[in-house]
Amino acid sequence: MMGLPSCREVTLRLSTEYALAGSRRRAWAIRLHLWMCRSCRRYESYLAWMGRNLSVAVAAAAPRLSSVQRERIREALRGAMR
Amino acid sequence: MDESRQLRLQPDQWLDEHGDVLYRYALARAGRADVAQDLVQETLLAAWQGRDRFQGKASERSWLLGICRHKALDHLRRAGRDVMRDNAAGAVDDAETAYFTDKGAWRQPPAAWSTDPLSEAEAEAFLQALQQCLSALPEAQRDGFSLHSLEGLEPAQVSSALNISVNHFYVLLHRARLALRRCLQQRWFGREGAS
Repeated sequence: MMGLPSCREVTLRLSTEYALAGSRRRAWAIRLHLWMCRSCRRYESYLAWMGRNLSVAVAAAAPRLSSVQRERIREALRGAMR
Repeated sequence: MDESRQLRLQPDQWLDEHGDVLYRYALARAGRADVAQDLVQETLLAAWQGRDRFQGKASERSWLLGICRHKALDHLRRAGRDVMRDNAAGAVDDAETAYFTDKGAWRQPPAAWSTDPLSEAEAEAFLQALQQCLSALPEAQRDGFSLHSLEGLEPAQVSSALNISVNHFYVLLHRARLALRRCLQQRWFGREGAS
């Protein structure tokens, strides 16, 4: 794909698109690369899937402080702050 | 610091609002629930003792996470464990050669994910695989990815908590995403390189 950004550059841009705004021409070149490259389209889908689903799915199973642990911490803090 | 800001700086309130995030961060670092609990306690106490230094430039959560990170690093050093670093943004070139050829093409193209890993039947096993893949990441990548993609912190908050620039955070995030994609493909989908 002569003249178009490489897969390496496209994946980096996909991960940093909100931080590194590029020129309109560059953005167009990346869209064209994605249109032509199935692997990078899959990577883009993976990023989108992660963004949509991962935090919600992980939150349900994520470890949390138990009420006993919270109370222990509260008591220790009160003791130290006296 | 204005009066309303000062009034919010109370360890009880921090514990309610940020305790679980601090606990998960500490648990990922220390690997033990009892140590993680101690680290949360030490973090809140240190924050209260140093509350005058909180300028309100960072969010409370990233400020507390920054303190927790230092506490966790101190703990690991005391325990004689290596404190891995992944600070060299310039090392991204080396890291990415595992995924891309010299010309920037994929070495092992991403395979299609033919099933929904979060379907009711699959979710638990998938999340276990994800945890294993997260554990295998270098600490800085894992911290950056977890705080942003799992805990929902904004890039500026993560970079403040980890004491790195926002651009460096994006490099870590990019590397973590590449590594997780490959790891999940190998551990979960088992179809590395398939089209």
